[in-house]
Amino acid sequence: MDQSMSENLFVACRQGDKKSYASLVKKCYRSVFAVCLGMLGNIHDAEDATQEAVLKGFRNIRKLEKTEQFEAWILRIAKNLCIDFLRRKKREKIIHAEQIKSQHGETNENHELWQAIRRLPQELRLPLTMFYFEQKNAKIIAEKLEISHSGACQRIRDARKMLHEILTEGVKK
Amino acid sequence: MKSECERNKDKIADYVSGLLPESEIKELQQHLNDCSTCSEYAHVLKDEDKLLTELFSEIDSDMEARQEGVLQTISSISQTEQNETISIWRIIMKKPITKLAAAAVIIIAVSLFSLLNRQQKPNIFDDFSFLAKACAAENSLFTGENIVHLQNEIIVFTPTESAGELDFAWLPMCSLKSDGQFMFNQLKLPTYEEPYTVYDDAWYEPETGKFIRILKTDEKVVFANSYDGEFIYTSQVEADGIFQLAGEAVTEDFTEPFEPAAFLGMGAGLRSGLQEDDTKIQGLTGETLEDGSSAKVYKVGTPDPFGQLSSYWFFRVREDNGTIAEMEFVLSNEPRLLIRRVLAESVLTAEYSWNLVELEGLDVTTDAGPQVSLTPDIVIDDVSVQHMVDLADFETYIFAINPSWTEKIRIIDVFDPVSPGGRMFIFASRADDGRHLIMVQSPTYNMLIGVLAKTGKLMYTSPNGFKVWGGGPSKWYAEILLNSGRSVIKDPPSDDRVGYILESPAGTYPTLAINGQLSDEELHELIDTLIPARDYIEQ
Repeated sequence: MDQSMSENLFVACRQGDKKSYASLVKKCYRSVFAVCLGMLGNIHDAEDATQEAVLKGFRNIRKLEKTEQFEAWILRIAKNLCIDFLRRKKREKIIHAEQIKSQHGETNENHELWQAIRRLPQELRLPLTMFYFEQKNAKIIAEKLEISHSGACQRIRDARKMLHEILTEGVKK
Repeated sequence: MKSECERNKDKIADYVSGLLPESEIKELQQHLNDCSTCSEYAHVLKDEDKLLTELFSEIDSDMEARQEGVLQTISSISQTEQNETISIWRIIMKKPITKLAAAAVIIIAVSLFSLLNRQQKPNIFDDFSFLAKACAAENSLFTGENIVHLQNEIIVFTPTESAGELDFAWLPMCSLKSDGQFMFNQLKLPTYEEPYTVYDDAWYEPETGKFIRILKTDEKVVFANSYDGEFIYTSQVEADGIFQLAGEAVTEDFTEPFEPAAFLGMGAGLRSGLQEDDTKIQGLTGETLEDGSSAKVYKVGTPDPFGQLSSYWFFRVREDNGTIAEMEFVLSNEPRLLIRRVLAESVLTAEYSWNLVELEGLDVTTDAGPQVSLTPDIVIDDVSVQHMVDLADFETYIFAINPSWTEKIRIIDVFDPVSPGGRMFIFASRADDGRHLIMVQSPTYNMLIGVLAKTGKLMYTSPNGFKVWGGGPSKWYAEILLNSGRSVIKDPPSDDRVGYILESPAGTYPTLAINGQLSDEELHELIDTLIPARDYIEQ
């Protein structure tokens, strides 16, 4: 999509045009979902948070000045929503057992590997998740998470090492 | 694993993730050939990488369905919801300038009410702004043989958690008094976690001029005002929460409002003297309204001293009949109020009696729903010095001698919306040579405008202890001040207007604007005559 076309979409979005907004969303939906999944560690919650972020973006698009800022902006909205969500969860003191129970039957999430990923601290789980969603491109991760390239590589490395530790815990014992 | 192997763990993790620089790969591969432990570690990590790739690819496989679900949700947002969601006004009153901007908008709107008060037909429509045209177009709705019923919705949006400081929106609203003059009221609209709607219904009988106006929420009636041909009825909520109607026979000099649209219409109270080609009016591209018809959109606002449009109105004017379909007030890029016409119909009877007998004795004590209230008399024109001293909760000053170049100074008492309970006093005087004078004293200005003063320069220190600050954003606030007194000075702010912030001995900040240049001598003479209003009364 060329710049002027993207610009036109953006102008239409700001005037509340839903179709134009949908076109903008399509371009970055995966990244928003990846961020939510990386932060929340739960597919179902990530789906909800992604939807909420997209809708919030729609409500507030008039605040955004430039179309090229859209992805970074909506990723920030998503991150903030996830932070709120995690705070809420913490407040509600939802116990781990309940979380396990709620995930019962969900695709992928009973996977041993997935359980290990969930045990990673969020600051490592997020870049790792993004890494596998973004064709293992650390440069893109750095841009999207607004961190340095070396910082992104470091986190992915640490995540891989810690994940290995978690996965081999039983073996070592 | 040896220490060298321990160091290689990082490299192996990078290697299997494809992050190891090309230059280091060969060396690592060499080590892996020589070291079975590291080789095994790399092997396991590779397997994990494969599993991770598969896992995320599996999650990714549902992405399209997920995305589709979200896109459907967007497309299913109803127009109503869309308007509401787009219009969530989050007032951010952290910055003094935003508060001042809000106050500025309010005093301008209030001054426009004052214009209406004078019933200066029809020259207030002479300015050919889109608003004037829209109001004129709206008058055509108030004609015909039947009763006209109009319904507007006032949607009050939810402020953000950070809004904090100002947890209500307000709207100027006029009611009719028995002498035919308008009373200017403040409709106070508290904000809650959820947006809510106030319904504003009006019935008007063109032949007789009888009318009913009722404001209500889902839970209760908030306000009512009517004219049955003989009496004016105005609702009052007694201390026990019971609705009472005060009926007053109209006086001999009573005349019905010359233009019902200016009283009951959408643009009532928000008429603007701005010209369509004025830089403050921006015509935007058209929009489609909820009913499918097209509207032209105008954005009207005055930039702050930094050139930012921190508060403004969107007006959506129907292409078909030129009336205002919607008005939306925005502050700090966040809409706060949406007022829209939902009904304009011709009916045989009004829903209530002209004397509102159905409302008499109604119990409105309910705590349910939004606690919308109406404060009467937000603008009292031409008050005395004594009145000002009695009502002001800060030291006020007056000019002991009327400036030689202006007519008599008139004092207008206006509620100060940003400082609850406070009153703002606008001194206004017209000058034959166009150098009209406005001075505003208010709790909000006292609290906030000192910051602006210090961005300018000290021009003069008077013997009576006033410091006069000029420069800085003086053109900006001078424009706001001059607009606030348009009911008296009539002319729009001129390009050579000047503004001064006066730092009084009591630490207040009366703010002065002159619609033209003053010589140093004239300025000094003017400031030197300022005395505390209390002293003036005692003299």
